[in-house]
Amino acid sequence: MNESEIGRNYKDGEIICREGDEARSMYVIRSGKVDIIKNSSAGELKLTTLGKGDIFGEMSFFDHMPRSATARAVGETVILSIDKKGFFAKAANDPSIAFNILEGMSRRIRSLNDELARYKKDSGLIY
Amino acid sequence: MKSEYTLNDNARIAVIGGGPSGSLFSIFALKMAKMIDRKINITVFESKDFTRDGPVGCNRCGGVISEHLIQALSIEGINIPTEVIQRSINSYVLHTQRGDVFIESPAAEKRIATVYRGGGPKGIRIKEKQSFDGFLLNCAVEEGASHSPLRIDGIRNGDKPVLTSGGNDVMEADLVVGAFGVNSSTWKMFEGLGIGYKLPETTSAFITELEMGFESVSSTFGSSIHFFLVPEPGNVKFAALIPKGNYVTLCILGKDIDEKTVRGLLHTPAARMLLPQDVLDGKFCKCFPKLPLTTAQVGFADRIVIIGDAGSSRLFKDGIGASYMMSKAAATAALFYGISKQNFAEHYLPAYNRTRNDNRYGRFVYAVTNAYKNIGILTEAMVNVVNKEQDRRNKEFPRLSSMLWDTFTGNETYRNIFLRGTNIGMHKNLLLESAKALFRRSS
Repeated sequence: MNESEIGRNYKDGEIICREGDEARSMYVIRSGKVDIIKNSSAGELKLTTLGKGDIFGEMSFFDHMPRSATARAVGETVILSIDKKGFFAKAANDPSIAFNILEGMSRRIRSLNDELARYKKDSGLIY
Repeated sequence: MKSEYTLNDNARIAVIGGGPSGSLFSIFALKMAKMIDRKINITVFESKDFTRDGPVGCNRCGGVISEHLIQALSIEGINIPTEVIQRSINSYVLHTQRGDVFIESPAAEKRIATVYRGGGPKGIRIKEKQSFDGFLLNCAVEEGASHSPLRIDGIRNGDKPVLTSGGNDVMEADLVVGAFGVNSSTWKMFEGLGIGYKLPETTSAFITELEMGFESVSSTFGSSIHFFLVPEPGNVKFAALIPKGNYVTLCILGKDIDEKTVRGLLHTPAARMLLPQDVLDGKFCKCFPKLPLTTAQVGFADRIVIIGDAGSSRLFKDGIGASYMMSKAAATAALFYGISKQNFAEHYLPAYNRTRNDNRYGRFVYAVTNAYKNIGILTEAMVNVVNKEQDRRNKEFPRLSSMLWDTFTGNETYRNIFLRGTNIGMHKNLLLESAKALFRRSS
């Protein structure tokens, strides 16, 4: 890892966090890409690929549920982890620290809505 | 109902000082304005050219970005690029009169960054990296702020404050943000406004850049900052060697630091192991910056708010982290509540006071650290407890190590460090190790 890079280095295919695990951190991608994967009866489903600057793993911070998906490095990837306790301690004094995360989550919900609408249309569930 | 002390559309904000406080205030204020669909105009007045090497381009500090600040900025979407980071850090080595202690980041991850505030040491030959202050100022400009290199030398306080430079009016502002440090003379303008502002009390530090070459710094220091908690020289409170690209930054905090003190420190066995003996020969970049010891009296008035070191900062550590907190609090107050003295008293003062109150715990933490630095038996006990904790760090919580880590990295509030230190089990271990040290000495 470069002497000037902060965070942790992950090799191609390495798991950053696993679906069903307890969440103690969320993550910021410093460089590289990360696949977000969901296991289903049909096998592995890739939900999305995230890139530099994206934040993931934040859902479990707020809903206190286990990880909803697995995050896997695509190529050499550098990830900075964010501590759960430290985040909430900051947010208690300064709730605006969560604004950027809320923006990201809103974008994701918007894109999921679009996808859901497409899926329903394609599968004939709406007319 | 709109108050005259509200930032309306096209409000003009003058930020005096383009260091981290001024740039972060501008970034946050512009982002918040966007959220509430308000158009504001921010001009950052900064005459320093952060691309220049030496003191003219530098805001003089050790240049360590703490773990908590790296994380906070990343969450906010401000990711410090590798082009700005000199070295990433994941551990500290504590040098004491009774041996050395290696303390690794609890996260086992490189989450501390060392940077240059300006263009690097005077005469730097290879300039591969960018200034941290320059990076943040660019972020503020990208967010929509304007940067003016004009040096503001006067403020006339009327219905709205008017900024002057060289005898000419430059700008009438709805809000003036004083984002300056204790090392600039800008504070005089604010003291002269008659708003009751008084500069914080200060102490002095010594900072120098020692050139060792990239490979030598890498092999000797790796990813560790070295801290010296040694009783001699007696006027040194503590000192640190901070690895940067081709250089190591030596920071000394204490009283009347002169060349004799520096040579005395560099001749301690630990320093001699780390640095070549001729490292002080020849020219090197050095400065004696002031550090705030207290918070300023009255950091705000109608249409005026003071942030940065000259307002309220953390004791000895993490000044840039304090800039982040204070600039955010000031931007929140100004954008969401208003810019009257009352608004700042209600929504900025609490953050200001939080830092001031936390520094009271800080004084206690440093007094205890000082005792452990100077009293040999206590030093030995501390070293032994921390070494044992580090050996068992995967099995149990390394309490004392984490306290030292958080004290020296500025990663936690001093209050939380103090509270963690009230654990009886840790004191039992320290007492036991002190008794063993006493026994070893007497036998």
